[in-house]
Amino acid sequence: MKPFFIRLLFAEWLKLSRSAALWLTLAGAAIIPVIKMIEAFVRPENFAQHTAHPAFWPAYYNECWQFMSMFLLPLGIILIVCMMFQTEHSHGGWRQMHWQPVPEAALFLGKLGMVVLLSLIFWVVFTAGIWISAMLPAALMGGAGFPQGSLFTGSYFVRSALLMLAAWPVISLQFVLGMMLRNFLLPAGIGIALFVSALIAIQWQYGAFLPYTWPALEFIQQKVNAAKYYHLHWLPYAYSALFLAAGYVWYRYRAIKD
Amino acid sequence: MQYAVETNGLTHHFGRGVPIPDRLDMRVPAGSIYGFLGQNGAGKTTVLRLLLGLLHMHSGNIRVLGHDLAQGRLPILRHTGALIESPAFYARLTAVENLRVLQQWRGVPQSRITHVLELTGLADTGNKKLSQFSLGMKQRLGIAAALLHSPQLLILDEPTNGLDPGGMIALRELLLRLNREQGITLIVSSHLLGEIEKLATHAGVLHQGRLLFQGPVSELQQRRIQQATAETSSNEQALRIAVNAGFDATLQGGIIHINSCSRQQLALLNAQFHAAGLEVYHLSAAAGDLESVFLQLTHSQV
Repeated sequence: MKPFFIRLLFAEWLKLSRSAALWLTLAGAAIIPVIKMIEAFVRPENFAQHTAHPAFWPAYYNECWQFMSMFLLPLGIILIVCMMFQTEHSHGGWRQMHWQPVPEAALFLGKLGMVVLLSLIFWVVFTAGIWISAMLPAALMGGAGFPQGSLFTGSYFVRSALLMLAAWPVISLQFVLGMMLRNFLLPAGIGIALFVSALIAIQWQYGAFLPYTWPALEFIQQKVNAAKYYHLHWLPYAYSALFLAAGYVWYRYRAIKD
Repeated sequence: MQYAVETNGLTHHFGRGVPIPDRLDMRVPAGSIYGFLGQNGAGKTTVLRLLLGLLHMHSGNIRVLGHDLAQGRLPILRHTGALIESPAFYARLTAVENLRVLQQWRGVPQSRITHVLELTGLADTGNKKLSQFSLGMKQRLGIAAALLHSPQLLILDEPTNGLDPGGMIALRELLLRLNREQGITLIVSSHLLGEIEKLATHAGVLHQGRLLFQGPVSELQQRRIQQATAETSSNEQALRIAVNAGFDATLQGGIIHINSCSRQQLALLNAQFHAAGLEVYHLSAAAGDLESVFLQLTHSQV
């Protein structure tokens, strides 16, 4: 018999593996690389020029991550987390879960585990997509040279990990809202409103205090090597911990458990 | 008597509304089939959700299978199977996959999935997704899920919902078999009195959050209203005798109709007819159904 937490994660994975949330994660991770690949085929001369540059990879992944961090990642998180919880809300899944002899902390962690897993899947697919979107056109277009250097450097791993971690305030608040609110439109609407507010507030001097600005702020800091918010680097992690702790207290002590 | 479920003064309020249930003292004997009767809105589902700890009770206490619910739900849930309201499953998964989710949670052998699917007649559903299941099939899968971990107590809320007559008979036979062969205690809520009469050994009648009756079904059946009809050589005189003796009697179409009359009272009335020199051509008693007992119990509270 598998250990308890592995069984719990496997049960969650069984549900998630057939859900729209997984497909949206895969599609969301693939969309920018696919667009970049189409661009390479449409404008092969530009593509060849870029790949010939010795610093092709850092410039290329920055370009891909720019769209992702500032726009698609927060929006994708909002939709995916809402969809993940909608599966439970719309099918009475919570009720079914809550009459199982499973501690509520384990159920909470199981769901959180799936969000971590989705994040990892997203990161792997996006990273592989960035690499394939440059290598495949190069391989298929005989004239264009393969990019120099490698995408898979320590710098890439550290920077992309920081970008993913900066998205955790969005992930954790959407996680809590998705769990609390049955109607899909409410957590999605609140999330989109907070995201739009963050986009507007990003230039504001106190913008860093808004949790949804952090995916974009982290990217801007990395790109321009700005140290403006360096002293607040702990803030997204503090927000995430706060949201998750508050969410767990609500989940554990709510009056109605279905 | 040992009880599988015992509540004392169980009370719950939704907001500031009327308490439902209101100081409920429920006793479900171990090994029994407890029919939980009540009209829509009586509070049956609320009580069942309270028993599983899905709702917080505001006062009172609940003991299930010897465990105090206030001390923790998990020891109770380990030995309890439930189907509350509609079956809760994932539409994109097959029956086997849905049960695999539960099997992982409960840590029971995979062979139990095949067993409960065979038991509920769903073994041949193959790759059919739950979204393609009929309501009756979903209901049977709900029962299969509740049985997956071989529970000692099975709580079923309106389990016959969506079942055709054949399905209802099959379900009744299955539940009776589980009770007889495996000694599972069952709590079955329903508003189908006929079903409960055929299935349950004990019953509780809930009305506006209060138990109006609780005990063996045979005791409930004894409360049936007897209706009698009589025909004598002088119906007018016989009617006077019956009314004077305190019976609710009327004369319609040459037949005397007597309401609320037990068999013993009827025998005494027959003796009075004879004593008055009347010739009795016809005297018969017909028992009302459980529905009339239920209506009598609930209407007396209105």
